[in-house]
Order: sequence, then structure tokens, then C-alpha cells
Amino acid sequence: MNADDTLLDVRRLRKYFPVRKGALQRRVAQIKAVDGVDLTIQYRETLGLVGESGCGKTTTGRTILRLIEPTEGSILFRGRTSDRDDGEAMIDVATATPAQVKLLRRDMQIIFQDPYSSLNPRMTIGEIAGEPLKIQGLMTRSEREALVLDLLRAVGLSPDHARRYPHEFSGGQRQRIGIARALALRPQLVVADEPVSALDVSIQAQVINLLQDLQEQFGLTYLFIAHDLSVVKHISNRVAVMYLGKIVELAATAELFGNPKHPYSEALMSAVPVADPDFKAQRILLQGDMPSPMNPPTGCHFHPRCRYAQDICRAEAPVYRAVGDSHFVSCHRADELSLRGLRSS
Amino acid sequence: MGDGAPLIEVKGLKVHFHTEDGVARAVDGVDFTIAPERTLGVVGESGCGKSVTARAVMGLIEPPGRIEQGEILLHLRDKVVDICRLDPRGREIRDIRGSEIAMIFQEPMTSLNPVFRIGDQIVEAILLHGGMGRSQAHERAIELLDAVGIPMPRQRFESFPHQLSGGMRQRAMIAMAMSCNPRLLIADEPTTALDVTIQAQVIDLMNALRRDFNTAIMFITHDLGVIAGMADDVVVMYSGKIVESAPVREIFHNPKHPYTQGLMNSIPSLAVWGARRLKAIDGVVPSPFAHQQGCRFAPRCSHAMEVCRARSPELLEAAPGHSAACFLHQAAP
Repeated sequence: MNADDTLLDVRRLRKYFPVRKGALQRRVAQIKAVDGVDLTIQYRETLGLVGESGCGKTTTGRTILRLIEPTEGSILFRGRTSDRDDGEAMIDVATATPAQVKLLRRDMQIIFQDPYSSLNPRMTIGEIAGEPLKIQGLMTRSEREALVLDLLRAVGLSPDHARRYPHEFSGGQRQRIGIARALALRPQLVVADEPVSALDVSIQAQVINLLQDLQEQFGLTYLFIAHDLSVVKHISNRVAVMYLGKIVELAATAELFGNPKHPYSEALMSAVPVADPDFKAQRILLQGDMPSPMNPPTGCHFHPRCRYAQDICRAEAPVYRAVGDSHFVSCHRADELSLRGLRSS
Repeated sequence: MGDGAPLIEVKGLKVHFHTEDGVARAVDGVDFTIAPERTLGVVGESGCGKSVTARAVMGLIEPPGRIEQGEILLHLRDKVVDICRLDPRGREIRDIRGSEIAMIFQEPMTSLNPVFRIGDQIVEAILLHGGMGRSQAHERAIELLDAVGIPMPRQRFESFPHQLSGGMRQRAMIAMAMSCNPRLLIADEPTTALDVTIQAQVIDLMNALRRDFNTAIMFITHDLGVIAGMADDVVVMYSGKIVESAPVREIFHNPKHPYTQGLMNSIPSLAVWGARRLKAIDGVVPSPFAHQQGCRFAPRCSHAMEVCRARSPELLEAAPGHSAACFLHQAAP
């Protein structure tokens, strides 16, 4: 990996949400939604961020875009800080001024999970897709309208959809509208937050293919957030696995699925139902539920559910470290355990 | 499917919803059987009619929904009852619900009452179907909570639903459904709202219960992976109709209907390595309000012929035990 190819470099990112109680709204606890995340994303790659509900993957994505204010850490991004800037220097999104954040939005956009709540029902499709351009004050009205028609075509909608309203569209079509809006400013980075999980199976494939085509066409970089391992494996170049606010493992897709180093990754893979009745799954059934991020376990957060846990796991939090070529893991026993990945066939 | 008498026979079932926007043909002519102690997987996308079919079997169709046609025959020990002919609020169907057929849902909170302790809700279900005193029912409820893998069942008996996690609530709902040893358990997307590690726990539990209680299961899902791991027999639904029906291995290894084939090709699989473009099914699912001539899948089907647009194919046997509603597998009419 060449450092010059790095588009995004997130270091020790933390986001704690206060829990308030009583008439004085005193802070009684905090939820450590994101608890020290390190990751980098290279130009034009897709980094998959996978984990179960409540692990902090969505908060991570939104904090990177400064849709949520980070508590701590830095988010270095190669983007514009002024209109004349060519976007060659790294700037820290975490400390950017509001004016800088607005400019950064031209380079970083988001696609939301829910294609129903993320489109304003009172706006036409054309207005929705063109709104980022309007907010940024780019282009005249007629230029904007022309660009919107191109965008709608690029996402597989027809230009005469521009005058219609969201309720006239199906879930898959709405998701295409959301994608058109995210691409209006020709961003570098798109955070796709569960973009296909609300869609029907036959429509999911259409949208996944579209995202891959657009990546090729516009040279996009994706942070692809999802809970579905099959989708993440299909679309990602590298994959990060999150558990309780931390990344527990990160590696190239084939390496992670073929040679997992963290017991949670191993269990997660084994739990995915495979669409083959002859596939003899050797399921590793995790006991219990994910603990509350308000009151995480001591030591390694995963130890109460880990079948390999030893005393050290209960006492000390493992360090997130490299265990191979660009393979990072946070497990005390990563070097001695021989975990089961998916065999390649 | 198995020998001997079936448990449920559904014949020509049509359920339509009469709304202000027109008539939605949610279920539009469906035939299938469920054999005792077998698991029937019902696969389909949203709006295909799979949940409405399940509710009809449970006798839960209410206005504006109406059973237009067909029979749902439940084979009891001494007689055969047509559930379509029973008053949905009558005595007879209420005796059947719970003791013969029980149902669990995607969202456990729809069937658990938030203001009662879970143990008391299970006790109530047991008492309703008679045969036990209160203290006996109490012990039975604790046994059931234990059987569905709820730790510390005696303490958990006292919990309210909101005090349990999603997976635990789903277990409590399963305990309630199993409380009267039903012969058929209808599970409507029971694992869809759960995380994958919790889903694996619940599927494991259902497979164990099925062995212990000898219950037949009608398992409704959109997830082909879940179907592959649970079902003995599978029906695939599309737009209110069954397009294919076969034993599970046949469906996965030798799918005959272009829609089934399309579904199989469109899902990314953990078992497949290397980059491959997904084969998406073009187009969208038709609206249940649209009254379209011919095969409902024809507009999205790459094999569609003239006959497909003119006439609706019947579900006919294409190979022993394997039926498809597709003219590709039927002699020219």
C-alpha cells in the first residue's frame, strides 16, 4: 500500500453519547458507540464495514462525514478546504470549520439505508437529486436540470421521472434516487450505509451491480457498511469487522474470509446461512447477546462470548496490531489460534 | 412429500383485499400440502402473498381481506375441518389456534403483551386450552422457557417483554407457541429482525424443537440460506401464486422456474469465491392491484414466449414431486 493512495485515514476515532436522566438531565453514563477506531481507505477501493446491530458501524460512518460530531480522534481526508484548493493536502475533518465542512461535502457523500424516510415526499425526484448542487450554489438552474437528467440516466432511471414524486416509486427505484443525489456533486468518497438491506432479494442485486458500475464510471471510493456478510464479501476489496465500538479485525476480503484471525469473525462467518441444502455448516453458536455498549465487559469486549477466552482476555484489552501483510486484529491469542475460515472451492 | 394423510391441504386458495384503491389479489390461487412432522419452506419477496397465505391457514383473515375461493383442510384425528368455512372469531377456530396450529411472527412484540410478565402470558395460553391447573401450568411454563434455551427460567418467568433482548423475546414467543404442543407451527420471518449470530441460535432451537415435539413447521422467509438449512419441502411464491414446488434439494440443485433460477443467481454467496457479477432479475414485482394477463413473471422473464403473455400457466408436475408453473416445462397447449 502506498501512503499517497490514501484517501481517508481515521485514527483513534471515538464517539461517546451521554445518557441523561432526571429533571436536571444529569449525565449518568455514556454509550461508547465508537471506541477507538483506526482505518484507512485507498482511492477507488471499497472498504466493507461489517458487524451486528449496535456495534457502532453506522455511527462510525456518520462521524467520518461529520454528520455526528466526534468525541475524539482524527479523520484525515484528502479534500478541498477552499474553492481554489485542488484537494491534494490531507485535512482533518474532525476539526474542520463549518465552512470547510460544507466544502468537504462536495467530496464526501452518503447513501442511506431506508429509501422511504431519506427522500422528502414533497420534493420531485429532480429537486431531490439536484439539491446538493443548489445547496453548494453550483451551476445555474438550467445547468443543474441538465445534470440531473444525466444523473437519473446514470442510475438507471428515466429522465421523465424527474418531475414525479417519491411515492410513485418502488423501494429499489427510490434507492437509485438516493444514489443519484449522493453522486450529484461528483464526490470522491461515498459512505453507503446498508444501501441494500431494505430491498427485496431480486432488487438487491440490481442495486449492487449499479453501485459497482458507478464506482467504475466515476472512480468512486466506498465505505460500504452492512450486516450481511455475503454482500460485503461480494463488493469489498478489504473488510473491517466491528464489535462493540471497536474494529476487531481488518484484512483484504479473501484473506479475512479465508484466514480469519479473530474468533468473532470466525463465529460470524459460520453463522451465515448458506443457500445450499448440502452445505454442512459447522456452526459456532455464540452464547448470549452482544453486551451493552454502556457497560462493556472488562478486558477484551468479546471474551464473555468467546470460546477461546483465557484469563488474560478477561483482564486486559488486546492491542489492535498487524499479524500479517495488511492484516490487523485485536486478539491476545491471534498467533496461536488456528481458526476456521471459508474454504475456497 | 411423506406418505399417509397430510396435515394441511390448501386447494385453490384466493384471498383478496377490497380497498379504496381497488382489489388487491394478495393470494390468487394457491395449492399446497403440509405433511405431519415436515417443514415446508415458503419463499418469496415482499408482497408475494406468503404472509397472507399463512394468516389464512391460521384463520386470521379480516376485512378488507376476504377468502374468495378455495379450501384449507385441516386433518384432525377424527375429522377434516375446512378453516375457510369457520367463523374467524368463533369457538371452533379458537380451539384450533394454539392447540393444533400456532404462529410466531417477525416482531415478537406483536404477540407478547408488554404489560404482562412473560411467564404469566405462557400460563394463560396453557390454561386457555384446558387440562391443567394453575400451579401445574406454572411449572409447565418454566419447563418451556428452559426448553427454548432461556437461562434462569424461574427468574425470567417474572420478566416483562421489554426486559428481554430481541433473541430472548423470540424464544419466549416460541415457548408460548409450543405451550400446547401444536401439530403445526407457522413461523413468519421469525429470524429476519435478528442479527446473524442470534438468528443461528433461533434456527438451531427450532430444529431441536421440531425433533422433540414432532411438530410440522410452515417456515416463511425471503432468505434462501435459511430455507436451505431448515426446510424439507419448498414452495416459491411470486405475485400471489406458487411458481414452483419441490423437495429442498431439488429446488436448489435443479430449479425449473425462471424466477427461482433468477433468485438463486441474484444472491451473493459466501460459498462463491472470486469477483463475479450478480445476475439481477430486471424490472420490479408487479403491483397486486394490476390485473395482468398471462404469467405474472413474464414481463421480467428472459425466456418469455408468446403463450406466456396470453395465458396463465398452471402449477403442474414437471418431474416426480417437482412442480412448476411455467410453459417451458409443459407440453405446448
